[in-house]
Amino acid sequence: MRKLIFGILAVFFVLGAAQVTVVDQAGREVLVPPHPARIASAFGVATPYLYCFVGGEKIVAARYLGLPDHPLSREVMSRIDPAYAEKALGGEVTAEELLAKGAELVFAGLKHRDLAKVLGEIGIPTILIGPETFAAVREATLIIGQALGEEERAQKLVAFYQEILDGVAAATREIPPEARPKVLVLGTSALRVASGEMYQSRMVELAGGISVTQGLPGSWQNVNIEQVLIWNPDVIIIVPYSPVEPADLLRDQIWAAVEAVKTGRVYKMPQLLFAWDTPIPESILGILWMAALFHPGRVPLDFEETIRAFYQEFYRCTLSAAELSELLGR
Amino acid sequence: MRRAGLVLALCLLPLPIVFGSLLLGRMDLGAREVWASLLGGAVPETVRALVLRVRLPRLLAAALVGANLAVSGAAFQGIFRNPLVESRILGVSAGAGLGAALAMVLRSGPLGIQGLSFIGGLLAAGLAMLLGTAFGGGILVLVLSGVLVNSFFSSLVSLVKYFADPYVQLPGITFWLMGGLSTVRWADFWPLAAASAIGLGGLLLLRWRLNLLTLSEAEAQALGLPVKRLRFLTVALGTLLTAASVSVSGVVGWIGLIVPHAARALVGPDHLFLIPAAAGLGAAVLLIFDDIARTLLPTEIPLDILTGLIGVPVFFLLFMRQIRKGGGWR
Repeated sequence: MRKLIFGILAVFFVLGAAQVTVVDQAGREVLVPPHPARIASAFGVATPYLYCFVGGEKIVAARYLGLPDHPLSREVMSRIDPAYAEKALGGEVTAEELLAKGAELVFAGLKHRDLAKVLGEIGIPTILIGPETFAAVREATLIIGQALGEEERAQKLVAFYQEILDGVAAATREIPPEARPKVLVLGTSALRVASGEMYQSRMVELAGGISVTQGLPGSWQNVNIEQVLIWNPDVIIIVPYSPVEPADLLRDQIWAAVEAVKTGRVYKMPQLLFAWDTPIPESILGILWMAALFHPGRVPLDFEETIRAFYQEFYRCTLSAAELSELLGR
Repeated sequence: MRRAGLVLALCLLPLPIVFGSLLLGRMDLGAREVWASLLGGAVPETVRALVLRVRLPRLLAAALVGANLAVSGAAFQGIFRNPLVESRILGVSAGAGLGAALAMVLRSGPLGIQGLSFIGGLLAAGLAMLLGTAFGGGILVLVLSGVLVNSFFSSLVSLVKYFADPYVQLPGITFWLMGGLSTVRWADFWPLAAASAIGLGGLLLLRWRLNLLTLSEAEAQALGLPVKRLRFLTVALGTLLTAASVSVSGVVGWIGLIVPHAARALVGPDHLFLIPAAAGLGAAVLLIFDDIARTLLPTEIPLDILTGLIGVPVFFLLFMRQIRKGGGWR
């Protein structure tokens, strides 16, 4: 009898130990099943993190931010997860949809608290992330790694990310303010700008620029051309998923008065798989790319080699020379 | 005679406001610089471009949109004999919204947005008129058809929003639906000017007969008026004005409801005076709202927010005054 009780207790103990408690970025304690085989992402920013840890066979549904519109990314993605297109979620993601896809563990954004509540009712744990700083990107990587039982790998990826950040920071730290270009980051229209509170502004600062929108709160903001003329940025960066192209601004008679347009320093950020301006590990490549634009030759890192190493390390994906050339517009 | 003077004053009111507004903007320009730009004097090219290519087309567009919405609202209130009717009654805004949303999802550029939203607005109103005729062509069924078409097209807008890319397309659609003139250039202005010339000119010519249309159908017919044809013409011109305006400004509410009432409070219900008074007052009011929208904050304030926030209390005051005077609405 005693043996039986011990046996039952032991079973409970093992089961209990296998369950992992994760504290997500909303501060919620989430009990995660051991080795989840079917995971989903209701949040475009969370999806890249998932692919860093698990293969496509474990992802049953996800949002793919900016990926469907980018041919090179589609090509590379189909090597990482040949079935990704069928998993793409559109519109507002609902609990039923995720349930129908058989998700056992869901990753979502801070704005998805209600979805998480409903999923909780039907017994599907949901982890919420919302990185807007470098530290929060590291934290999100560790949280997701822990939830997927890949803590060691998470540590390794965070170290890679941090090494690049530190490398750029060391190279740009001593640049005096007068040598830092004033930078404006444009979103999905020519008059939609990244606010000073956004990750994009932190990227600009680390790369040795000054974000002209510092002090502008919130998320993406709509402004008028007069405000752009007041800011008069030296460099304009257009996010990769924007329908706006540098040529649109360069041939516009009003924009001609903006310093960046006068000097031709209007650039579209590259993208591979996911957009380099978003708060995901790829952003270190966006930072390196901007640092090379703002201060050529200053950061002692081989850009091409870093890109290759990044995709190898984070996505276990080997880029061909042709793909790298296409990515860098050569 | 005093009334004619008041109407003349209201019609001329937008002129000084346009000149005053040319001095306003995020950029600090002096009166001398603005005058020199207008008269071809010596000013930096940037200043001239700002005054002649950014502020002037935007201000003129604001004046026309305000005049158009107010005049079509006044005409609709008259012929539908209903004080709660406004320029959007036949579903023009919802149809225009659908056209604009589709154009953004299809990435057809700014002129595509203007064109498709114009067509969408005309289609919606055409459908409402067709339904109204099918139901017998009475005034009440026409209003009812408008309400039906309006909700149907609003649902279609929601459908497009639901399937739009939440990061790339949705913010643009949402911003457009809140109304704004920040992207207006001369290329957007001229089609609006042409449609306004036809619509405003037509309704100004028709304004004697609008009074008769507000009589009951039997009375009007007894006077030998082709009631149905006149009503159709009025609705067509009002729809043209509204669709052309909304396709440039996005959805701007309240102007087409409140300004006609305000004009009626000032010059009385006679359309001979009411139509030109509404035109002047509408232009003046929207110019002032747009001045606030483009100068108050570094970011653009959507027009619909301003017209609603200020328009509703004003409407309430007008309403209270009318009730106290013991009069109903004409």
